[in-house]
Amino acid sequence: MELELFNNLAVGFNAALSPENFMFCFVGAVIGTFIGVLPGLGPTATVAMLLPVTYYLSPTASLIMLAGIYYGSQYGGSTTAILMNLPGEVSSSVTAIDGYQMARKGEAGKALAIAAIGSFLAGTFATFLIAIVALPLASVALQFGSTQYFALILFGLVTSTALAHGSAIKAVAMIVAGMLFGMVGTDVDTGAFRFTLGLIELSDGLSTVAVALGIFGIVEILKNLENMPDSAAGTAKITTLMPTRADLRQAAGPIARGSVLGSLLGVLPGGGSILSAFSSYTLEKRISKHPERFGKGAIEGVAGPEAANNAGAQTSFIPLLTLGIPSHPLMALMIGALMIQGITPGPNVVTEQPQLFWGVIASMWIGNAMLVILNLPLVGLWVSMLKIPYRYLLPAIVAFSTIGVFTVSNSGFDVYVLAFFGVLGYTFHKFGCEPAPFLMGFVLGGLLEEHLRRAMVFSRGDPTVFLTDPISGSLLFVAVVVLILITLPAISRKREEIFVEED
Amino acid sequence: MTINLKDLAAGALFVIIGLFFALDALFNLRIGQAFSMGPGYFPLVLGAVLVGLGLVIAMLGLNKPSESFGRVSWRGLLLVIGAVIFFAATIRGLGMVLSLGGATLMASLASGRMSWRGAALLSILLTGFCVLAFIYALRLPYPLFGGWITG
Repeated sequence: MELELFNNLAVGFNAALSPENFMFCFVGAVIGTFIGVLPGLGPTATVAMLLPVTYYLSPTASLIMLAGIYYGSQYGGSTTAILMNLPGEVSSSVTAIDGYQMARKGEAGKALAIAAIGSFLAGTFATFLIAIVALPLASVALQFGSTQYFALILFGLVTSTALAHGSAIKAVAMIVAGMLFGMVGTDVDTGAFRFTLGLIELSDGLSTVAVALGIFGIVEILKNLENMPDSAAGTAKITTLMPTRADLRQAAGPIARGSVLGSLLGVLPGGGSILSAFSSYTLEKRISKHPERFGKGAIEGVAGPEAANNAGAQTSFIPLLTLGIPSHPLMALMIGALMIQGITPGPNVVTEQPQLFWGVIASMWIGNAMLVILNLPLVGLWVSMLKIPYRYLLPAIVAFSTIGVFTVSNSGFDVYVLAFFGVLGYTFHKFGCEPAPFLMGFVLGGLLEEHLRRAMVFSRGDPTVFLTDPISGSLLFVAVVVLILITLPAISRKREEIFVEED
Repeated sequence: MTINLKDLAAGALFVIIGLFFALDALFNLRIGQAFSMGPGYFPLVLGAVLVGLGLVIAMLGLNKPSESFGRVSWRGLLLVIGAVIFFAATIRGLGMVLSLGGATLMASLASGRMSWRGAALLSILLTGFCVLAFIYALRLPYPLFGGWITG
């Protein structure tokens, strides 16, 4: 077993260190840091923008790059959180609390270094954890039939709304709406055209890239235009980067606890980094002998959450890699990237594509090491990126989005789809409905239908099979409990305090 | 009694979407039975669920403090969406250079703080970059100028 693990990791490192994959890991980490630093451009929109590019890469390289963007953005987000109290990504807003206070006390360098070290150690821990649990989990998942898969997907969709921002019932409605738009096109089972409005262009369904870029990319632009973010104001000076031995000792505990906590919470659908960071902060404050230091520049308040959010970002790949179920809209897009390459994500990937599977896992560790190197010495460079005013960025985003959508199918039609979903997504936003559940539903709806149909054929139309099967029954039970919990007023209020839209 | 217009509007939108899919499925697709579902079965169920959810959302909004929709940058909305539609409509006819040039010019003007000269310069730079990156580096087979220009 242990030997096998090391063999697998060796396969992975071999794949990840090939020149092509290594380069795209680097590219992903750089782009991730860049958009992490910039407010107003999230990782989901970025991944959607880059999806068309991945058609020219090998599946392994594209997944490595897209993953790099995701965890890279977490790193970049903390840099601006510490230096400017400006969390580039929502998950770094916790870091901003004590990180910015440290920066104001002249300890910016120390805070950055601790954040980077904490993230790296947590990333290492999470990478090994993924390597250990992936195989057993995948082999369990291989036993799953359509009944269990149906329940699993439903469970994933429901719990991901529990951890999303805003009104829970609106999130559920957004999932259903997303699934309906996912039905457009040719029905796989019968070949019937569904909801194509007589348009031949719609017979292949709505382009995932166009839908995702519309509701994330275009909507993000329109939101920013409501009150244009100005380029950054004052930045804290960075003096020494090296933390002292005492600092390290103080940070060791929070980093260790943050790594474990983040790894566990990251596996939850939709959980990922924000919940991890928040819980770690609460935990550190609670067990600290001097809780009054928190909020005034406590090093533990940076070390713990940073470790946790990075670990969470990593382990949120577990459901994607072993079950083929995305836990974040960004991962839903990765599924799209894989499908285009002819790979159906799921438990089979481990055995059929070991290079891909272990390569991506190994690349996460390599990418984390790159990020430390990218982020610490070059921190000044990243901060200067913030001086790019948003009005210059905006036309570039529009240009890359439209060209990207166009190149996927060489059709202007998909670009109209982009415009349509831009308007629809913005309307949803104005009505208080967030895009993440919509995209999850859009990507997973077809899969859910397929498994439902198959399960019902096997059970001869008896729906109770979902309740009598132990695995499916318990998944659905938990999903219902979660749904009830989040609609309870006390909890929903708490949720709205914690979760802000993470995109 | 106050009405939360945001919730009411969201509910109405969900009802409309749900009705569209459910009715189209009901009239134009075979529904089938649970043990052999036709192409219309699942969409019909989902559409009905969405109509139900929309009604609940709207009803819950009837007795909630009202909430403003917030600012909308109409100029931005018009120019950004306009840029995308312009690109879609002209990419074949005008070709990459002029279609993208026009789209980026419109997008540059979306924020009120950009001067005409700045916008023109930015759109030229961006178009140049995209042509280099996509047509020369990635070798995508798109003509620089389309049929409307070259005849």
